[in-house]
Amino acid sequence: MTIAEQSNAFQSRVEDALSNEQAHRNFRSAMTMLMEKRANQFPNDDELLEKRQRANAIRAHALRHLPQLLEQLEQRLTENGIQVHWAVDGEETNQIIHQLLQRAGAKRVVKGKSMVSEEIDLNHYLQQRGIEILESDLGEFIIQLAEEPPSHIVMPAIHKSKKEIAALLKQHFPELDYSEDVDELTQQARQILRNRFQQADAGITGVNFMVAETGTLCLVENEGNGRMSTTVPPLHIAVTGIEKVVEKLSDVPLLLEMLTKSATGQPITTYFNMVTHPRQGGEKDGPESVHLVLLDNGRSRIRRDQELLDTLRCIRCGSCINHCPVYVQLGGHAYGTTYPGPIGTVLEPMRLGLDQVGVLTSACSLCGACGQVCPVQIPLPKLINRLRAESVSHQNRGAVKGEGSLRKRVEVWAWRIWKTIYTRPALYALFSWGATHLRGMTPSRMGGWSRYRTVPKPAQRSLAELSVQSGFEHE
Amino acid sequence: MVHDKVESLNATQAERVISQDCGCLMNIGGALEKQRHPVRPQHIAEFLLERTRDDR
Repeated sequence: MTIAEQSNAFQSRVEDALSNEQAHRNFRSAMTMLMEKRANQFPNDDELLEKRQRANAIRAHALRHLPQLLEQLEQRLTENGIQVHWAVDGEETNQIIHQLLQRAGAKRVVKGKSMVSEEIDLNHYLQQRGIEILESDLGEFIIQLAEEPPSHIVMPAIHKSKKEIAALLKQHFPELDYSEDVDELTQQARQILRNRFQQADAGITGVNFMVAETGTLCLVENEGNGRMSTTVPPLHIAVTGIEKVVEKLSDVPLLLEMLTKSATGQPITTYFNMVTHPRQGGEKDGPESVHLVLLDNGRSRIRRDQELLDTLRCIRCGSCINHCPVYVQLGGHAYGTTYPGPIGTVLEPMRLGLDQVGVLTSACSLCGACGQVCPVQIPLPKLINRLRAESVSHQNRGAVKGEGSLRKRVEVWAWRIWKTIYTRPALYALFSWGATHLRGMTPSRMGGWSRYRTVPKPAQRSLAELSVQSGFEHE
Repeated sequence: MVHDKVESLNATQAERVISQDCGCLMNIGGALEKQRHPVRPQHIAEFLLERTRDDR
């Protein structure tokens, strides 16, 4: 994609998003509710700060010792009977998963919610190879029916209204009675999914935390679909990024608390799964084999950069998204990437290059809310600012592809002229005399600015002029 | 975003809008003016000057 195509595509997605009043109202009310629920879970500011610092330390520690912890994790998991596979990129991850399914003769797969699988476009890869794949998280199920990507990393179907969901279910399952009642709709989806769990040959899920000390895969969810996906089918394949490892089992409670409280304002989710081994002799349920596919996909490269490294602490709670004033206006689809909002604005250029998605760094007012709510204290505003600078100038840091690709000649000249004026007092005096005395010549239209605002006019007299008039001495 | 800000302002029925941030003054002020809203935002320094000059 050329730079012009990139900005035009983004611009038109933004226009689409802004013209959809209903979606805007949905996002606004959902995000307001999530912000309130989160705030209620953290009534004490000092306590919250202390918890964020501890959660930060746990994640930072794990990232510092990432190679050792991953080796330890592999060893423990192998001892526990869980097979570990390593993948450099999305393509390799998809291949490994496909081979595992083929080897088991698995045709029908149920999936728990996994953003990593979205990142590598696993569903399409498997569907193209004749595998039937069903999303079992209610939100993911809805958007799979609608053939849309998620619009939020925690609540993928947050952009859909009750009516849209009702119509979607009726369209795909004509035998159902049409209903707009939320409980009835949930019940209908539940019945559909229940059958599919029993028929599935394999379950694929993500992972929230991997414990190196014990070889445990932790999965956080609310609907029981994760529990079903990891226990009912004979084969369970977990897929996640290498950064999700923590050292000790005792690291998990705090991270879990910070995750659920920050994400949905729940003190704890309805389900919390800890997978430590496949079905053992004498056990009546659980999969016969469990595999973990660990994906790098640029994460090791990011880890080598002292600043960008911080983003790997992310526990995918989505709190930064919920608090983002830009996200609430646009929704997730306008970003055009797997991860939207502040965290997406940082992760996606690192993954895809500034030349592909660098324009996202401008979808930020630098208000700083994301950095204040992040449960692991990722300095998101600072990182967005850095990537914004890197998108228009060559700093030769080398960690992110496409440095300087968004540099525009006209902007470069505008700043050059400004610099010339600003650094020469005589020129500056002339400029401000012109701007104030000839203020009638200010254009009445200024692109996007004057669509919603009047054009600002320079004052009648500059401050310097006024102070001289009022008798202030120079300097 | 500025649309939501003006809506929130309207909801408070505030008579005055004061800020120390010149960017916000330009942004919100411009939108208020475009909508022919009677309220004009003011810089905190201007507001204080007005208050201290007043004999009230």
